[in-house]
Order: sequence, then structure tokens, then C-alpha cells
Amino acid sequence: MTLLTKSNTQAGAWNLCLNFLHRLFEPLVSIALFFMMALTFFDVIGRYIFNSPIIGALELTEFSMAIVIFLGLVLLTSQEGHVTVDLIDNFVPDKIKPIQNIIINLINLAVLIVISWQLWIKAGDAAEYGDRTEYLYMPLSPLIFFMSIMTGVAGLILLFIMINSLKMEK
Amino acid sequence: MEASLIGFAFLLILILAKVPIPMAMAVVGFVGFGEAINYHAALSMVSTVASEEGMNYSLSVVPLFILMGNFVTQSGLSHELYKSSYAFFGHRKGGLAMATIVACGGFSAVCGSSLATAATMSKVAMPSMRKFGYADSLATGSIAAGGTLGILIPPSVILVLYGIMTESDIGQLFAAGILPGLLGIICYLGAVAVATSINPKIGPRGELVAWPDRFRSLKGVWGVLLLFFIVMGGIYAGIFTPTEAAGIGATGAFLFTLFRKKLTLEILKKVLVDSASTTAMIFFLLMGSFIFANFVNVVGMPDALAEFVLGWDVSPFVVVLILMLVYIVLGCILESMSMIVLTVPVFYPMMQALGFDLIWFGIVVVVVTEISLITPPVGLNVFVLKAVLPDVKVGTIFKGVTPFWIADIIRLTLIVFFPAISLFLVRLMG
Amino acid sequence: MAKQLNFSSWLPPGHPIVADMMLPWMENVKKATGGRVDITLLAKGLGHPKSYFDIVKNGMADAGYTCNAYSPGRFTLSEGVELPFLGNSAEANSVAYWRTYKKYFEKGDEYKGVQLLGVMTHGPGQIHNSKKVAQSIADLKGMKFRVPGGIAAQVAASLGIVGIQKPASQAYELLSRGVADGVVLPLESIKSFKITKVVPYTTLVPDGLYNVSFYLVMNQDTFNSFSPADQKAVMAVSGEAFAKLAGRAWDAADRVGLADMKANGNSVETASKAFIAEIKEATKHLEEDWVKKANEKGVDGAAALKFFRGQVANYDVIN
Ligand code: NA
Ligand code: NA
Repeated sequence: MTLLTKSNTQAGAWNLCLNFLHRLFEPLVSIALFFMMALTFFDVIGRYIFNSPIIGALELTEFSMAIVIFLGLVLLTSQEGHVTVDLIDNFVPDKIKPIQNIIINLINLAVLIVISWQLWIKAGDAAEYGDRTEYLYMPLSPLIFFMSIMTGVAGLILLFIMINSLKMEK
Repeated sequence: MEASLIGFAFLLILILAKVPIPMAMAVVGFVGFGEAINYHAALSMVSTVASEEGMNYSLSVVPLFILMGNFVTQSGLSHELYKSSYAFFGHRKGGLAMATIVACGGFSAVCGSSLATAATMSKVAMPSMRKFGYADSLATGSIAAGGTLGILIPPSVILVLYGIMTESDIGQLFAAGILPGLLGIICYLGAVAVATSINPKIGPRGELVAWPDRFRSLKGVWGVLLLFFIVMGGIYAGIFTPTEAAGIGATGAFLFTLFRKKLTLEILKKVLVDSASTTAMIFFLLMGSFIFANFVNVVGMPDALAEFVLGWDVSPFVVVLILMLVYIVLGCILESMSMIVLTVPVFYPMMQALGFDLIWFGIVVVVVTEISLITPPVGLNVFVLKAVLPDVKVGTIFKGVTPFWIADIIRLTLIVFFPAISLFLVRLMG
Repeated sequence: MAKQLNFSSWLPPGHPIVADMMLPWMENVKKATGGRVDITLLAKGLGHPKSYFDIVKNGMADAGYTCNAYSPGRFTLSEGVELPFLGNSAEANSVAYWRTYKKYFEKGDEYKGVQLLGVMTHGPGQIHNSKKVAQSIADLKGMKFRVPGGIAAQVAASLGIVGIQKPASQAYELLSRGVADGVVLPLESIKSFKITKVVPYTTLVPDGLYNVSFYLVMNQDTFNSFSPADQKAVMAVSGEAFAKLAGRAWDAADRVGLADMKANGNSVETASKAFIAEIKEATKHLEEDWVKKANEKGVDGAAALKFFRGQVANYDVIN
């Protein structure tokens, strides 16, 4: 599905915005994943050669993973990369397809909104209870807020994709 | 039980209507949970699953094995693998297809994904098979089928997911996958031999390589062997856990790619970003699956299913056969990972209640999943080949995988009836 | 018709906590309320152990249990009953814990949003490893142990043990392959984690290196929906009665664990006087730290510990 054309100025602005997001998030997600990899390596090396594993490696891995997954979600959403089955695609009349797309996107959007909203509440709870990690005693709420915000950003991207594709139909 | 059946029906409808599978599972799981308990609890369930799986240490193995596979792909090791297996098999009837199978098996040993194996090998093996006048069906079929080995021969992302969902030892699962994986290579080689003896035109002989040159070609594959032995050896020697092995393997593959001068900053970023996107895709699938599994759980499906099956009073193996049938049918419609995350949480408590070994069941599940990758209408490996080779018809590829599909059924039967094939190495390592 | 209540457990049904503590307690609740409060165990848990407070608070399940140590930052008072050298019997400790909770900890309000039904601690935590029976801090120095969080981790660190911080579910994997050299765990857990064969050397520390505290909670709305008579009936078989039931089951499970070790030919030795003195010296700061933290929560930590110790000393464990 091609969504964006240069003739559409709003789509052009949207394109810029998307480019900006990718330029911002791709280095971040790369660093987080590379960090995860190096962390395991040095943790094992430290444990065997120097008898001193990295303190809290487990928690740092968990934190990096959350960053990879939720930034990855934003990238994935902008590429419309979720797993779908298009088995009956050929049997769906062309007239119905736009409506089908709208409904599917609304469902996707609803799921992202609910996840984002509930994570926000959970982050608030974690802040109130003072939840921390077991070993490094890092506060959990900022990370959960981050998850919530990134899910929300993914939702926004999806909303723009929807609006753009509606405009394209016209 | 009824509630979960209604849930499954709705899930199937949404999936067929092209709703992304994770979203479909999340919606049905959420509504089902809300109806069964209440919506306040269902809302809280969503955030519990999202935040738990978003930072679950055991799952860190997934992005890191994906990263390892992507580095290996980038390193160009696949060319050496193919060259070497060509040197040994190329002169036989159907020899290039055989070489493809063996190279796929070798690549699987350092790559956790079937799709990556198929995609990588298609770029390497297809040109030479075309040069020697191979029929497109055999050429593409051998790559699509050979690619499925990626999830059985360790490391394997699917085995990791299975291990996490059933709380089984991932190290044991990896050990259990080795012999069935080798058996798979042998069965596929047999399939090529049979197919080319029926119709020799589809797979002409390649050039004969002299023995000294054959051994010389092995020099190119040491990198793959080294990576495999670091990862598997490290696990079994107790230097690191299977979870850590993923990080070690990824670091090894990274260094390898770096030393082979195949890595620029741009490529590094691309590998990392691609791996992160795939990771997010898998995690959303997992989250959807956990949400759906929680619904199925609170309406008592696993217990009811186990009771129902125990009430049949038939041999447990009949249950296994029925289950295999269910998987093969589901595998026609669903993509492999979705099939695993959807079915395993529902079936494994029942298998446990019936007294089956969960490690063995994991191997059985992965083999049926492999089959699903090459069965129509949804065979992901076939689609990967189609994407890489746009001029080949999907129908041709599906025709080409038929002999391999039959070989898979034979292998599945052997693995089901002789659990020792899977469990021998597990017992050996104690 | 009684509404079906769900109980979620992150441990499998065969684990002593479920089989010998939670299921009998559910049976007691059912009996005490004439079947009006009927709690059923779900086939599979609804989340990670660390999520159980929220799982119950938000009504995903009506009741559940978990360790306090899984939510660091949330519970500090419970760490008081996890300190070293508090006693040899989980039954005595658990009952003393409940009484201390009612007298001192309750005003700390750590279980806000749920109905606390019971507390318990497991039996004394001991030292188990794959190399030799440790009889001094020097023996342990540099050994790699899989350690739990909370007080247990602090105790291990105080003894110079290199802590490997991996989930408990990976204990077998870590030990059988030699990634870890040992664990600190109560005797029961050696059997239930199936690691009897891989840690054949156990040092028993009289009165224990640490204890892990657990809580049993119910969703507040669920509890409030019971008639006052039923609420009273539920509490009559919970609270101290639950602590006694659970503690007794822990003690029994510890005996089974010990028998299993001996049957396997493991070396089980009691720590020497010198070693005990070393441990006491190395870990005494933990108690001081905790008293300070308790005081910050408005609870007289020193008095609470004194009360707890008195309750343990005066409790008659009848096997
Ligand atoms: Na593999
Ligand atoms: Na299929």
C-alpha cells in the first residue's frame, strides 16, 4: 500500500515528520540493542575471568529490552509491519476493501490506545508505591511511562496513516 | 469451555478479515476476560502483560538470537557454506539441490529463523542452480524446505518461545533439536534423490570437484562451525546459560562480520534496526498471545480440555495424532510464530497431564511448524522465495516443495513414534 | 449460589506452597463459610510473581500470594522478618510474624488496596554448593551463587559471595551446567527445584541465614462482598491460623528436603561456632539498617524485632 505522494502537501509534511522520527529513533534503538548484546558479553567475561559479573546486568538487560521493543513498535507501526493473514484478500470485493481497512485500523488503534492508557495508569501506580528493581534499586515508573508514551506515539502514527489513506481514497 | 470456543471462533474471523494477529488476539482476549471477570480487571490485565513481557529477562534471548542471525547473514558466510557443500554433492543427480539442503542445514546452525535462512540461501543457491538448468520447482522447493531447518537445528527462536511458554529448559530443547534436524537433512536429501530419479531433467549434474579441492573448500566453513561450537559448547560446558548464549552468539557474529570487513556503520545500523523491528513484531505477537491465554485460562479451557481428552479413554498417541492433524490444518492458515503462541499455551497442560515429555512435544511442535512453513495457502518460506525471485510463480514453488513435504511427514512420524530421536542427546547431557 | 472465586498461582499445583498451604487453606475457607466462599485454583498463573499484588488488587484474580521481595521499594517492614538468625522453625516464625504484623507493621499500611489474609516465612535459609561444605567465609569467597533479591542478596554479598542475579526458575540450569557454584535456599527448595544432585554440600546455619516472607491477599471488593459473618469466618481460618498451617507445611517440606539430601548421599554439616560468629559479624549491619528504615515508616523497628524474637522463643512447635 502506497500512502504518500509528493503532490499531497499534508502528506509531504507527514513524510518529514516520519523521517524525523526515524532519524531520532533508529540510532536510539540501535544503541539499546547493541548495549544489550555487549552487556551479556562483558557480564559473562567478567564472571569467568575476573570473578565479578556486572552488578544488575539482568535489570539493565530488561531495561534495554523495553527500550528496544517499544521504540521498535513505533518503527514497526510506521512500516505497517504487524503479522496479518491475507488469505481471503482476493475474494473481498474492491468496494468493501476501504471499509475493511478502516475497521482494521480502528481495531489496531483501539488496542494501542488501551495499552498506552493502561500503562500510564500502571506507571502512576508504580510511582505511588515506589516500585524499584531488585538489585540496582532503579525506579520502575519512568520506564513504564516510556512504554506508555511510545505506544501512544505508535497510535498517533497509525492515526495519521489512516487519515492519509482516507485522503488517498478521495 | 464454550466461552473459549466462541473466543476461538471470533479470533479466526478477525484473523481471516486481515486484522493483525496480535491485535486480534488482544481484542478477543480482552473482551473475553472482561466478560468472564469484569472490564476493570481486563484493563489491568492488558497493562500487566504489556509491562511484564516488555521487560522480561528470559525473553532477551529473542532479540539477541535474531541479531546473531542478521549478522551472520551480513557476513557472507552463506557463500562459503554453499561452495563447500557444492564441492561434495554438486556432481550427483540433483546435486545442487542437495548442496542447497546441506548449506541450509549449516546456516541453520548459526541462525535462529527459518525465514532468514530461506532468504539468505535463495540469494546464494538460486543463481548456480539456474546456471545448471535446474527446474525452478526443484530449485525453489529445496531452498524453501531447506530453510525450515532453521528453527529446529539450534539456535532457534521458536524453540526459545516454546521453552518460555512451557517453562522448559531451553538448553535441553536445543539439544533435542539436533538429531531431528540432521534427520531432516537426510530426509530432504532423500526427497531430492527420489524426485530426480523420477524426472532427471529437473536436476542435472554439476561439475565434479576433485577430493583435495573438496577438503580445501571446508576451510571456508570454519567460521560457521566456530560460532556454532561457541554457542552450543558454551551452553553445555556451563560457561553461560542459553539466555546468555544469545548475547555471546550475537557478539561472535558481530566480530566475525567486522573482521571479514563486511560491516560499515550504515550496515551495522541497518542490522540493528531490522532486528529491533522484528523483535517488536514478535513481542506484540507474544503479548497478544498472553492476553488471549489469560482469557482461555480464566474460563477454565486448559483443565476442561485435559478432562475432555482424558475422558475419551483412548491411547495417548491417538491424542497426539489428532493434535498433529489440528496443527497441520492450522498451519495451512497461520504463520508459524502465531501458530506456536496461539496453540502451545492451550495444549501443553493437556500433554503434561497425559504424561508426555514436554521437551519431546516441543520438537514435535516445531517439526509441524516447519511443515506449515511450506504448505499452501500460507507458507511463509514460499512467500520469502517469491519476494526474492519475483519471476517464479507461487504455484511453481508450492509444486517444488511437495517432495519435501512428504519427507517431512515421514520424519514427523519417526519423531512421534521414536521419542529417543529427540531425547537421546538430552539424556546424554544429563 | 456462591460466586466462583479464582485463585492464581505462579507456582505449579504440585509445589508445597500450593499443595500443602494454599489448597488446604481454600478447603478451610470453604468449610468455615459453609461453602459460600468457594475458591478455585486457576490452571495457569496470570502473571509473573512480581505482579501478584496488582493482579489481586485489580481483580484479575480474587486471591493470590507472592514474596514481598519481588516488589522492592513497596515493602520494607516485611524485610525485618527476613533477617539472619531469626529461628529454626517456619511455623514459629510465621505465627510470630502475623502477631508482629498486627501489633507493629499494620500501621505502616503496606497492603493498601487489598485485603491481607495472611503472612508466612519459609524455613531457615541455608548454604548449598557444588564444591565442598563451606565452614568459613574464606571457603565462600569468590564462589558464584544464584541469589534471590532482598535481604538474602544482602546476606550473600556480606559473606563475599559473587551473586548471579538470575530468575529462580533458572536455578537448575545455572547449577547443573556449572554457571553457578551454589545457592542460598531453605532445605525444601533444594528438592522442589530438583537440584539435590547438583549441590551435594550443605552447611546448616542454626536459626538460618535469612527467611523469605510471603503474603496471601484477596481482592478488596471480593472480600467486601461477603456477609460480615462470612468475613469473620474467612479471617478465622486465615491470619494466625494460616500462618500456623503454612509454617507447619514449610517445616514438613524442609524435613522432606533434608531426607532427600541424605538419601542422595549429600554432605550436610552444621556450621562451626567460629563460622557462625563470622557470619554474625559480617551481617550485623543488616539489622541496624532495617531498624532505621522501619523507623522512617513510623514503626518502632527495634521494639518490633524484640517482640518478634520473644514470640518465636515462646512458641511451642509440636511436630
Ligand atoms: Na537454527
Ligand atoms: Na502453511
